[in-house]
Amino acid sequence: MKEKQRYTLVESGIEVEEAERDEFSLGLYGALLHCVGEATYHRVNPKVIKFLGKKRFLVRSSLSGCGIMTAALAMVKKVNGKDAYFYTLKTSGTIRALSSFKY
Amino acid sequence: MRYYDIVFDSCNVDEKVERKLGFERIGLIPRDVALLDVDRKKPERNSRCIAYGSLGNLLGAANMGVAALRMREPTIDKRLIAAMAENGTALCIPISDITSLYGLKRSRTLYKVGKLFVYAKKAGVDVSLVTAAEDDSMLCSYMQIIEVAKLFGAQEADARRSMSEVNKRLLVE
Repeated sequence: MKEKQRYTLVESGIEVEEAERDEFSLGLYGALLHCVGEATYHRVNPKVIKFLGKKRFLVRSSLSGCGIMTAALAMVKKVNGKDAYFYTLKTSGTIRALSSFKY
Repeated sequence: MRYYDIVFDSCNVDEKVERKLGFERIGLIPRDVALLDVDRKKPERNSRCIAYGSLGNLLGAANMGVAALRMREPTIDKRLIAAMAENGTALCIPISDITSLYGLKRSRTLYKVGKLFVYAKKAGVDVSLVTAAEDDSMLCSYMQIIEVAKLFGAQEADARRSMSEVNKRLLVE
């Protein structure tokens, strides 16, 4: 059976340049792993799938682990040794709904 | 549901940030609500402020009917919780106390806050969930507050009520 997934729109406190995106994503996975713990990380299974400008990006996670990831993102204060913080703006089942998000 | 948050005035908060984070309004300390150190100054009866200080003085503040109390350490004091329930004083839980910590300290605080939250709810005390952020890095969206509250054992409906009804009472009334 196909695993249900959830997409989350996240705003970062730091700007991420196009060349740094892969490194930033890896750093974010490490920070999330630290907050969530090895025993739970597989249930969240986060993946940065798309950047929307320098500060916003979409993260895909499993439906059941979406809430844990949202809490963990509030606790991440450093990525790759640099100060960072993240606001979870919206979650949705489709990428399209998040790409057109306006407040 | 409309959500309210309370932060320090050192944060850069405007209407755009309020909307982005999903809040109807973000109140500022001390402009919108006062934070009173009860170790230094005695609160007035039924004053609309958040009192903080040592446990003994917080008990006095609860008996004076202040709007809310913020504890320095999340410890259960049965007499204090009973006084809060009797006088309608809310318990203010700052989420930034959890998110700004790291490692074992954070886990320990989560455990203690969870115990305090459950005890306060059972005693009939209103719990107010606020970020109490001192800078932009400690701000959270309403979704993040709900999920952190779930980590320490709060039900989603309770967390939503804490951010809407209880926080609104602290800010607006």
